[in-house]
Amino acid sequence: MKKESLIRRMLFVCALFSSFIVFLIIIFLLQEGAPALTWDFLTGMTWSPHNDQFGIIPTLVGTLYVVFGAVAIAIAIGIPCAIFLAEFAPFWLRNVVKSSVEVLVGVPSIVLGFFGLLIMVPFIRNNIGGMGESILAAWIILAIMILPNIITISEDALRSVPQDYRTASLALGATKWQTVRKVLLPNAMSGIRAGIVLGLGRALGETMAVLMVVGNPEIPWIPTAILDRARMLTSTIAIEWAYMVWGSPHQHAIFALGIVLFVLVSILNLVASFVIKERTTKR
Amino acid sequence: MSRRTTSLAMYAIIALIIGTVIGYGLAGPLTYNAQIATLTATIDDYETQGYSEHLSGTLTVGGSTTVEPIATECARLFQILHPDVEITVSGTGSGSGVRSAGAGDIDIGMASRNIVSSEWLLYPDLVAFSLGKDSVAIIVNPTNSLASTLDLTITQVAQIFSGEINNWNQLGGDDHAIDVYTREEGSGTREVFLTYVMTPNSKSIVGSATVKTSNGEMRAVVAGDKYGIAYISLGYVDSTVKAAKLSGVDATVANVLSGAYPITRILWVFTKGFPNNLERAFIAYMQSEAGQSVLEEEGYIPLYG
Repeated sequence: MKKESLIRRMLFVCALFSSFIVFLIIIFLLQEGAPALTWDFLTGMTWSPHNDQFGIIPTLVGTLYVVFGAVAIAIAIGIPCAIFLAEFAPFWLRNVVKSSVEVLVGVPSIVLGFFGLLIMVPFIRNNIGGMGESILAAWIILAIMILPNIITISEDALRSVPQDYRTASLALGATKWQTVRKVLLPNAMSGIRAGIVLGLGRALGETMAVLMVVGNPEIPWIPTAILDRARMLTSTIAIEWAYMVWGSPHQHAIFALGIVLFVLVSILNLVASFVIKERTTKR
Repeated sequence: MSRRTTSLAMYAIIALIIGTVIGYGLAGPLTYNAQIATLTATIDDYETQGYSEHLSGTLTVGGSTTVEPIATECARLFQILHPDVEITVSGTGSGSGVRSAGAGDIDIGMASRNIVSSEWLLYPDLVAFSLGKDSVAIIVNPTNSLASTLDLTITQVAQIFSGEINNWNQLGGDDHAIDVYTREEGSGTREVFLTYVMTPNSKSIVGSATVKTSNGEMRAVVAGDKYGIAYISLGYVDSTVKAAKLSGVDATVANVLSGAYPITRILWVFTKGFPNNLERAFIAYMQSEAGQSVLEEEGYIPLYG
């Protein structure tokens, strides 16, 4: 009995410890970043640490532009792929495609960035134009990174639609495509949505691969074309932490970027868990 | 029980105080001047006597990516001489080198620019040693139609990097935009470039310039971008890029030494407070003949060159 309560207490300490760490990180982030979270910071159009100007708008717009574009590409490729895998692919082909998609999850982001910098960037520069390092390059790299999320989650959602629905639809004379469009997709929608939101979160937090191909102009501006370069919240932190002076406005501004990023990713995670919950309660 | 613990703690505190006093008494007589004397003697004697004593321990070295190749190669050779020493070298930029060495996060910092007054105020106990000299070269892609003939004045370079000259045809080349690459703000190479090129012409770097965070990255992007231009440490120039002439003078070690090439800088390493035995030995090694020949092989200019 005594041993049991001891073990219970140890488990409790471990649980407490992990949530304690989260609180520590949040407090630290807020404490260091809050002084910079001013109106000027949230609405400023110029980010130039050299002149003590810290405006987040061009970086924020650049980030959203890159992330939503990448997710759009991943949706356009990933969802048809998931439909094919779930409904049309023969067993052996499904195994081949699915395991290669799973390998894609394991490719470290620095390797993808390296591939992007050495293969894609010169290709874009020579065949499409611009400097090569561009939003387009970041879109492609990020889309590759989040494809596995979208494909696997959407495929699971499609496959978990009860077999009865399929047979009923086919028995009513619907073609296979009509069944997919009118029966399977609406039923799997919440799962697909969860996959998309998780993909968004991953794209938003990705640093290394994007940093290497997105261009990072000295003073960021609001991008107007896909061959423009942009700055991401993550890449700005990664480039500038090394030379910020501790205690300076610059340091607080960098932590404030971290807060904005943290808030965005937390919102996405909340939305994702909400969507998943809604799906499970509906069943 | 509790009484015994208290008296135990009392004894411990008394022992600690006595120990500190004795320790201070032993260390005290070594004055400031004596420390300097020891220091210089050790460094001068490295060649003649070598380090006969057994060295062991770990050293962390960080900062300028310009100095990094010298420190890396010296560390490799030093570890062969002293197998029980472990040295890790990382390139994080001069600003970061000053800050982490000043804060005591690393043992030896590296910088490719002078330590500025604001940094001395923050970290007054840094002790700096010069390793050698270097210059900054303006580089373009070898396949650029202008590459072999490119001869710029300092003013022209400032105009290119400030965006006033933004097409190669303004310099007599192809009709294509100039892709300007620059270093991040803490970089020593950037600081030197600003001091020699931009500030005298009251210009600042164009906002659309792409930021890269090391000499190696700058060289790699220009090697792959036909219309790119960048500035890097002279020691990093190799056959993958072409260094432009400045007012008719080639960017070579000889021309930097003679003063014909207008940009020179000193490469520094530094420690927080006076270096301890191991730090001293490694710095002395980098300043010794062996270390200086490494520096020369890497394309930099030795201390007494």
